[in-house]
Amino acid sequence: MLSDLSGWAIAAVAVLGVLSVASGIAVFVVDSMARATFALLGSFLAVAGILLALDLVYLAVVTALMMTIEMAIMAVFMIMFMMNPAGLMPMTMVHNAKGSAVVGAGAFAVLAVGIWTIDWPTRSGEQPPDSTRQLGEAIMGSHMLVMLTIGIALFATILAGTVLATARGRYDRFGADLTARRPDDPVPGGLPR
Amino acid sequence: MDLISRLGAWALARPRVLVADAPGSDGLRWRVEAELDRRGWPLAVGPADTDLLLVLGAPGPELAAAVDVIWSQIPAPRGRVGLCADDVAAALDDGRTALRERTRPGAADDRPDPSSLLGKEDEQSHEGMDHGSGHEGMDHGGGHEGMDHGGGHEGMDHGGGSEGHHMHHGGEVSGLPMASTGPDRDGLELDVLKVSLGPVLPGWPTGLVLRAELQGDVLSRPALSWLDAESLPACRPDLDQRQVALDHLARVLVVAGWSTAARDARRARDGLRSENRADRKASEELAERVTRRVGRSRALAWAVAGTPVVDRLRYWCDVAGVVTGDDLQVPALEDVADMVDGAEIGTARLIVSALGLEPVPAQRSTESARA
Amino acid sequence: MPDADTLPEMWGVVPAALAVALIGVALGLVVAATDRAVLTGRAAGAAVEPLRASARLLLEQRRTTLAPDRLLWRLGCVALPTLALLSLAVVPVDGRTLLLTSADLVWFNAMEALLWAALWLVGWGPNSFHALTGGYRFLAQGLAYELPLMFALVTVGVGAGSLRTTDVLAAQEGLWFAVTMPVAFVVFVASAAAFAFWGPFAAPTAADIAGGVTAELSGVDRLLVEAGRAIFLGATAAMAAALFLGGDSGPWLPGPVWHLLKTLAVVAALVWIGRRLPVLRPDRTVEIGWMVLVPLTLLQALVVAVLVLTGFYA
Repeated sequence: MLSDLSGWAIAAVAVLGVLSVASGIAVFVVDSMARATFALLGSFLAVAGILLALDLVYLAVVTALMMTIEMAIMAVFMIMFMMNPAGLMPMTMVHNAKGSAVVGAGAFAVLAVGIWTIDWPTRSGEQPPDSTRQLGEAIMGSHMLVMLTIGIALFATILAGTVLATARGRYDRFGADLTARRPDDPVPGGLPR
Repeated sequence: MDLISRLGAWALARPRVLVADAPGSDGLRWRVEAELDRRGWPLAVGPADTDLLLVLGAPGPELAAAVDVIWSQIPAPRGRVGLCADDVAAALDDGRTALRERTRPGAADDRPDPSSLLGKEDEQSHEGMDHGSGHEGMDHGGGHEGMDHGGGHEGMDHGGGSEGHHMHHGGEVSGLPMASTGPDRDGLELDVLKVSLGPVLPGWPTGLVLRAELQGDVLSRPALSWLDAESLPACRPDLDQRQVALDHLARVLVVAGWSTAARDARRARDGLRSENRADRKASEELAERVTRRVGRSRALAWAVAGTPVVDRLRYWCDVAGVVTGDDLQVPALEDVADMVDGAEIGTARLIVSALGLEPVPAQRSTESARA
Repeated sequence: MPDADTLPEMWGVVPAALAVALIGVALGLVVAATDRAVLTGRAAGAAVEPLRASARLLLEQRRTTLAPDRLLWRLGCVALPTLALLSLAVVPVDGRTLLLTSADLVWFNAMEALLWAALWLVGWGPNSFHALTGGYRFLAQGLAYELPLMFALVTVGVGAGSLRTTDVLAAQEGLWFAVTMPVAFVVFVASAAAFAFWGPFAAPTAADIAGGVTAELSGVDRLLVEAGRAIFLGATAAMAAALFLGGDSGPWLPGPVWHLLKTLAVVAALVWIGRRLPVLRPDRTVEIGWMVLVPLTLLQALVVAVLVLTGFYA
């Protein structure tokens, strides 16, 4: 497959790969939560760059988009739980250093062995002119069931997480018999109700 | 050299101006704002976007110290002008000339190094830094305020806290007291930062300082006080009530982020004093237009719904028009503190600016008139 | 399809990139000048003021605060105008784009999403609670506008049957998308103001938090942030003109002139309406975004999808 790529693309993939691993390592080296978050984002963006070099534009930009928003949401929680701006309080970013090192090294070994030992299939047919369209047809066609299941599972997880995290339910907002016309919220929302 | 100073002169033809008005200099501030509007010089929001610092009237010692702190935070090239009652236009020209002098290569800046201010225990030490958070001294001065350095240590648990092994709250970093955790409005355990707002902020009564704890963007345990509370003038100069109302309206609108309406309210206020009859007439109409626009604005009503700002806005609009409503009482600082307790920081700012707080309460002036 | 699909193929890589950057800066200047004219109520001299302000900021000292996170702070400041220009790379100029990707609309959206991170960094860096509150507000605002904006872009993609902006232009030869997608159009333009934290959506930089994310910015840092904001607004106006108003289609005049005129019309409308409103608070707009705009834009996408199935756009 590499043979299909131009020299530029191979070089870009190599550089971005190193970059993504390096900023992945930086996540555990820096001592500020903000820097760790954005080192992680940098790693993801490098991966998005690799996808871009492989001409998988849609996957690349979706990776960048989703990961950025994800990291930004993480930042919200960071502010809530750590008000000191600019990361004034140095804090270590590692938990259970020994155990995680073992797990990490093990996973790396398994994946690396897998990459080099698996007999990867070769491309059948021509490279499509538009990888985005091909991807869309695959998602909405042969892989629709998988994608729908994953999508609904992820959505359910988000909802469940929110429900678990919220102490207040509808009975707190609308009363025991849910008859209150205006919800009893600490801060009113924007809708006139 | 010549090119650079010429470019500098062109660039600084319309400097951004931060106005710090001592209590009792409202009339002067209006004249200054009218002149700035005529010249198209923008009003600055804080020290970071200021070129020219205008100090109006005679600030008391505490406010003067706070203004010095603001001065220390204005990036070069910068200029500073004190203005009492003399010619506003000439003073502004002088300020601009001084400012342009500063752009010449080799013009020395007399700014002390922020870190040199850190080690000292005198009043300015923690204020002179451009940090603006960390502890009380936000970068808009705070002057002598915020010096209860120990305040940051309250309620923090060195180690052994509930935050787990890797996070140590409290303590000091770079000489700044760090946030510590505390229960918040919604029953969570969140970080608490001690902050102080004032004494010089856009749309804020100059000299007022609000000290509070900040969790996220929610203020709690607020306490308000006036700088130089002992040495304030005995009574306020007599000003036209309509102009006062338009001024208050303009200040609320600045805080509410409605720049065009605030501009119109200021212009109406300034025009009402005009000698020219046609100008006065036009300003009457402008005042009417702007109060109608504000009174009818659904977006503004929506933005401030559920706060005391709603009544106040209506009141200022009524007074600014010819409608004479009931005299609204200016609440005591303790009551204001109750109003802003648990409010989001922007709401708190709106409430404070809408109440029309004055360092010298109106009652005192009527009492002195009786006596 | 024209002979050359992209601007680099037509003009060469470097001239094309420079041209797009220049277009971006020019659009930013137009936005800033229009804004200034509406703000002061005087049109005279408004065109010069953005240049003067830029020169002033270039002469100004950079601000240093105590114990800032300088790396992240500067990164955020530089990222803002960079992202704005990158988002312009997929806006068609004379029927061609700087970058020809198969997912232009998603690219545009990704640049705007990266802005979340960039602006938050500008708020986080200086170690100031006003700036931090501004960054925090921007994220809250982002949660309000992001999904409606995505659905608006999805609607355009569905209508055109492609994520390429050039295909979107081609699909509007009969009828502008603004006619069949009014909700998406309005949401897109409003989101432009929201992600450029401008006008009624300026809560992250509002006066009630002493300038918010810009509270500690001076000199070239402030210039970068202000320029990024203006270029983003200009780029999004150009994008709105391309996606909803038929881009460069129009009689008599050459295509680029039409596109420019439509862009200027969007800018003028945006500034004129935006400056008639006070700043809307993110804690209120979030509920509107989720309870009103998300269902509305979904409905809009459904309507367009049905129209596509009936062969309306064919």
